[in-house]
Amino acid sequence: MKDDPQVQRAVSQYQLGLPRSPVAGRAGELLGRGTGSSLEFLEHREYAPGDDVRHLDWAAYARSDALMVRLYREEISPRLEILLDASRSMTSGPEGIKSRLACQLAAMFGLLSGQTGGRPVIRVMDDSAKFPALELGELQLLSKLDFAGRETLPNLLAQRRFPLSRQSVRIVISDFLFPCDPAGLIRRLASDASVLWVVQVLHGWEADPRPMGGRRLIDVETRSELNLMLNPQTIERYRQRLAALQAELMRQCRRAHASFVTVTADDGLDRICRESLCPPGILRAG
Amino acid sequence: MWFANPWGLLAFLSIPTIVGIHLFHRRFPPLHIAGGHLWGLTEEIQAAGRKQERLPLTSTLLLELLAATVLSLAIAQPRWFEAGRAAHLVVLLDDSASMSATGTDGTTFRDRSLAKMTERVWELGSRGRVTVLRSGVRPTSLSDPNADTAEMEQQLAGWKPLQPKHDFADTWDLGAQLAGPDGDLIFLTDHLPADDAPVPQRMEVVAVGQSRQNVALADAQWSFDPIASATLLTVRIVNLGTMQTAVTLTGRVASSGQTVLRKKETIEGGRSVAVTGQLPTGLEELIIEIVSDGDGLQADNIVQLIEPVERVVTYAIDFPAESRVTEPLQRALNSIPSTQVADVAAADIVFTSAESLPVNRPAQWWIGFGPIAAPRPTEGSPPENERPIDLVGPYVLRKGHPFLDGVTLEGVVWGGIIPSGRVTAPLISAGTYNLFSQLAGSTENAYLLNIDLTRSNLVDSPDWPILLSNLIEQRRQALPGLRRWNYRLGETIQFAWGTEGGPNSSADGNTAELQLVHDGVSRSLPSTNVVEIPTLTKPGLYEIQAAGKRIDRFAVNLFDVEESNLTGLDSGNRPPKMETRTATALIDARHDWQTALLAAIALGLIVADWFVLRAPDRATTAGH
Repeated sequence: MKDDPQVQRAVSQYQLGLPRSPVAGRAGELLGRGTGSSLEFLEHREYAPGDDVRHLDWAAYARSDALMVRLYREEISPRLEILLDASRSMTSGPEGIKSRLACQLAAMFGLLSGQTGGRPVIRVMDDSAKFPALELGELQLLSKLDFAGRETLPNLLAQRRFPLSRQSVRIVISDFLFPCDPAGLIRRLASDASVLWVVQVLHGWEADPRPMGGRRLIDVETRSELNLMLNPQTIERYRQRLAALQAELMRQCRRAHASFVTVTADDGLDRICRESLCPPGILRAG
Repeated sequence: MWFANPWGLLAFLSIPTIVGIHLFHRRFPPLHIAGGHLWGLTEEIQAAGRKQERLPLTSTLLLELLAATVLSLAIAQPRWFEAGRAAHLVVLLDDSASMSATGTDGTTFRDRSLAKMTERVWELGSRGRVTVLRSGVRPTSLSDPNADTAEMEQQLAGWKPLQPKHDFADTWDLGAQLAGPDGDLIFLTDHLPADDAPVPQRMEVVAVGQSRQNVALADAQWSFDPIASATLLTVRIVNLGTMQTAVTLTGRVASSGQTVLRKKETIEGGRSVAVTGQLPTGLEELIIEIVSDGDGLQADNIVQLIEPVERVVTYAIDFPAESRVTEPLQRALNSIPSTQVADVAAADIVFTSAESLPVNRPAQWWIGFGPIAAPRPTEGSPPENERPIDLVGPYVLRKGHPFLDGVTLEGVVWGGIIPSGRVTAPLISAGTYNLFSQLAGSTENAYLLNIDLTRSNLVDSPDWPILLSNLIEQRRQALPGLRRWNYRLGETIQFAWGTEGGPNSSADGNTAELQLVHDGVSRSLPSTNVVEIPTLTKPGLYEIQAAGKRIDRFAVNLFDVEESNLTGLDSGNRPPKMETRTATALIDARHDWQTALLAAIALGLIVADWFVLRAPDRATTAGH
């Protein structure tokens, strides 16, 4: 998946829209809140045993006869944590278009994080736990995901089968087409995260269905069935419910200082990056 | 509108069947989705059949109903009123041998008539139907009435007119019946029929002949000469033209090609010459051919002949040595050719005393002389009613009997007649006395001469050798096998299929089946004692086979001077005296474009229905 041309192009064109002061992460290229070994001067303080003698300010010692240590801003790489919904609902759509876009997004976010020296982790939210966590070097395994999970994202989070990292930049990729309490879900996703981005992936017909006459609808996740006339009235009701879901997710994300964006898989990664991910600041042009 | 296949209308039952399937089948195709809770449950529709509801008119239902309707129509094969009508042409072809003659332009009259027929067939168009008959004693069809033009030309390619002269009336009648009141009828021949000929009113006559010079073999006889122990060939050549013509006759052996006879003759117009030659025996098959300039018909220039076989009649004279009958019998029989003395048991005919009745042996003829044995007193003179009677006539001879051919009995004293109480069929009688009669009850071939030759002058009259010769020749004709081996077309051929111990009986006593084989084609013959072979219409060699083995063979040739005479041929067109009404006939075409169109539409609808049905399945993977 990391060799996907669209992913490669996106990685070359964009960079993560991380906040100016991420709270935690290993030594990297971004300035952290604490002191570190960057070239950006922060302040002086008196020398204390254990300080690095290389940071002693000999000029200040000559002027004040006191040992002073020069402190510099630390440089960090943010801890990026991608939660990828691998349930069956992600397989709906033509030729797995939803799941493919989800994998492309996960790979793109991972690679963008890797460019800044970060060590991204992709947590595949699948009850089979086949690939529970993929690191930067394992992105090719994304193409082997079968998206056969039956548990919904809220259930998996409730079961605490996937430990979430503290102070991480957390990106959630899912279609959110499962019965849930958006407030509780977003609150849980946002807990202990320094940043939360929520990306809802739908395919074209899910986002904008058209009348099709009588159909036997089969939920790919729950296998429940119902016969329905897909007429304009039915579709309008579906749209209203979907819009209510998206509005509630948006509202809860806003409350958690998170970003919520809905993308349509049929648009393709390039257009999604440009029109859907850049405006809310998830991506920045490189 | 009518239907060529009304039973096909039963296919319309598929329409309620389809409706029923849609009513009771779960008619909603599956659609795999995510987030089913967003679609709610309030719009769920129960499967059909659980409650009465209106059948939705889906595209699938409409397509299937339409396809079923069109397919049902295609099976029923609808015909609109004029769609099934086509012109019907009945062509009568003159099958006489003169049609094989060649015109001055090198084309045969046969080819000319076929060309004319082809023109007419093309004029009919592709929907026209043609029935072709060839003339003959029994008119026969030359092509399949349902055949298209190409098939008909292929079937007519093997047509060779070689029949002798025959009457066309039967052919015309049959053609008129086949044409019906609406069909066209045309007779293609090489000469216009006479004005008083019974030509059908609606028949058009087209003559394509042309007057030609012709030299023909009028007759060819190949006989066995028992005196010379050789065969004698006699050929008669006739010049049927008006000019003197030089003719070269050659006779060659069929097996080796050796020329055994070659003669050149110059024949005046309208005259004939006979060519005779003595040939050795053992040639088996001979081909006689004549060549002359300007000859119009080749078919009568060549004949095949089969060598005749001597049919020897064996006889036995069974009288006591002192009998005075033996000498005149022997003397008369010696003068008859191809006869041979044999034992009484093996002889074909036995001359004996009537003292003892003949044994029942159908293969042997019995000629008894004298009165039938009757109980007599051993001593003394016979009773008054058994005393011999001498008669001088008048004699009554059965008219037309082959035994009595040429017998007159003029001046003959028939002596020694003794009345007999036996039932006999008289051949010669005088008053109440049967003088020469056939015995009834014992065998068919027992004859009684109620005569005492010592008291009669019959043996000194000319009737004596004639009577015996007739008996021998009739016996010869009754011998098993063919009587002759060379025949002319149309001649009746008889084959004696032996009786007691004859060749028709196999070892186990079963009668073998007879076959007549010509040009590799065989047909069955009745296995009777005397087989009469139906009139043959094709010249050539024929074999009579029993159980696959050749019993005999014979040749049939065209010897018909009237047919060989080409001077009366002409060309012309005689239109029908009465026009046909519509010149069309109701037919049912094998290949109908309407059926094909309906079938194509039905196929298109089925394919469309398949695409419609397939679309929801694609939606499970293609996202609707």
